[in-house]
Amino acid sequence: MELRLEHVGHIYNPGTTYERRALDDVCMTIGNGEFIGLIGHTGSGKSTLVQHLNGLLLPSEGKIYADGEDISAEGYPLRKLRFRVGLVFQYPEYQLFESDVLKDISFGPKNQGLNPEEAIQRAREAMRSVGLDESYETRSPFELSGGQKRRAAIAGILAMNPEILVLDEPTAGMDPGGRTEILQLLKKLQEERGITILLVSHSMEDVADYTDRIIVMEEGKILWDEKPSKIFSRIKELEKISLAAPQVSYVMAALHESGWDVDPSVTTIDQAADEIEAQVRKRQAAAGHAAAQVE
Amino acid sequence: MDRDKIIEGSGLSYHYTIYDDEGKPAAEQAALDGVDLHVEKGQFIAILGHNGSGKSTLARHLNALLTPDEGTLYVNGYDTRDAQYLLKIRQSAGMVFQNPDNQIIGSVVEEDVGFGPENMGLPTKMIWERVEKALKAVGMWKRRGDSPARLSGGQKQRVAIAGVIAMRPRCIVLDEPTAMLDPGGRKEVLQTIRELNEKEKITIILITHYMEEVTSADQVFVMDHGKIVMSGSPRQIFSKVEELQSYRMDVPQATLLAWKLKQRGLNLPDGILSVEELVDALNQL
Repeated sequence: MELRLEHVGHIYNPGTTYERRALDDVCMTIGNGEFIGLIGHTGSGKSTLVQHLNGLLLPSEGKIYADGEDISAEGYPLRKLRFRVGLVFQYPEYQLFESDVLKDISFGPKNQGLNPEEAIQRAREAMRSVGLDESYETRSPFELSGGQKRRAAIAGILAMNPEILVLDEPTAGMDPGGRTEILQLLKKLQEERGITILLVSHSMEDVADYTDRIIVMEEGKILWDEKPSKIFSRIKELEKISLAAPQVSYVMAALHESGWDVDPSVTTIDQAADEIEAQVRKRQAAAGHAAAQVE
Repeated sequence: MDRDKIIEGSGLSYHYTIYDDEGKPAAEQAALDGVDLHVEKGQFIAILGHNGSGKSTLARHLNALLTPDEGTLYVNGYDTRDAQYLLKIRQSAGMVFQNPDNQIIGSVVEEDVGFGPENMGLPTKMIWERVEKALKAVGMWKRRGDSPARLSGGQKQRVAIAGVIAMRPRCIVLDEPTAMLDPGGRKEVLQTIRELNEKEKITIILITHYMEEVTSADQVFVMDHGKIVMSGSPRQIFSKVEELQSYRMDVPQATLLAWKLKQRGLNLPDGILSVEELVDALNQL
């Protein structure tokens, strides 16, 4: 599915002394199976924006179209939109509540109106895709480890078969191993099931490693909406708005500045290793050639 | 007892009890298993370890929120099992947690920071002196009259740190203080921590999942299954990339890039810790 935001603005508590503009003239289109990163400092409007994507908040200004239909229009089935666009909040494990894992995960599909067998079926599929095997079905969600709880919470959203999956800092507070597991799960969902992923993150490394497109927010506006290589070549500008680039970008920029013929827009470790190795070999070959000539 | 040591833990073990449906104890789970931890005054210590490895349980022992089932722990010379020292221990070792919103209680920044010293029963004049010094130390003096709600995540966390240092602890234990912050906020908090260590000589014990935050520590401990499984300088620790990965840990990107290049036959030193070190080493090839 395709979500199109046209000049969306959002104002909290309009007409009161607490009035505050959180979104300002936001235009973007998401969908079609992309893996998108959403970055911005605390308070830049990311969370307000993601709550618009499944109609939890409706725009104060502008329009949002889901497959061409205005979601603010009277009679628009917002309930259905919420199943099509799954939202995983921060620390989603705090929202686990059922007595066992399978019941918890099948809660969503049951709510969607599926009969109990279908709901269980969906829950089982979702458990498999997040890597929780049958032995977890009857366990209490509260017995799981931190990483397992978070995967169970994501499975609860997946069981509703969303076409777009929005996750607000799904790896906050997780160890590096757990972070990698969650991110690879998201990548797999995107590649194998064509689900569009929108990842809100404060980890520039994660966003650089996994996304095809990055949206940068600042003061409720979209500042940039470009490929990671483009975004992370603006190191100075990112730092000004309390963001950064992955360490790799700093390495490549510094090498480029000291005269290395490497691509400064490289954002992942493997690409950087390739670039640097090729340069070193070239220099060594040239040096060897020069030495041979002297001899 | 060693006067230069702020933390002296020997053979620390701690078990959590798991209860069954009827509320009867069903099983015991070791969260700490024979941990020895010795920290000298003024050191900057970092503790790494995956979720559930025992880091936070250890941190909660350092200000006697928990006391060991076995072994002994002295904080600033006080035995944590002895209840009469509880206040002394909490004044010696302050704690800063992950979520700044759960730690700030005042409606104005300076009031929040004054809460601790006020609770200690200090005279008003002394409270204000401490508040001023603490807020200046974290670079938040200018925002003293603001509501904490108006601050960014990094600023709130700095106020939480000021609230701890206003109690003049010898040691601050920070349990993932940057987990919820944006990159700018992380940088602010890290810089504040480093300055407190260097200028005020406060002992720092930092628990984190961000590898690049521990590169300036004096010593790094890695925990797994309630035990300390690796310890050493950041350079020693981060030269063991594969061993770290086996404990679900990682290394800073610059370190990983250097390690990969070394594997491809480039002549780089072990345990490169920062962007600057890597760029220098490459420029010397």
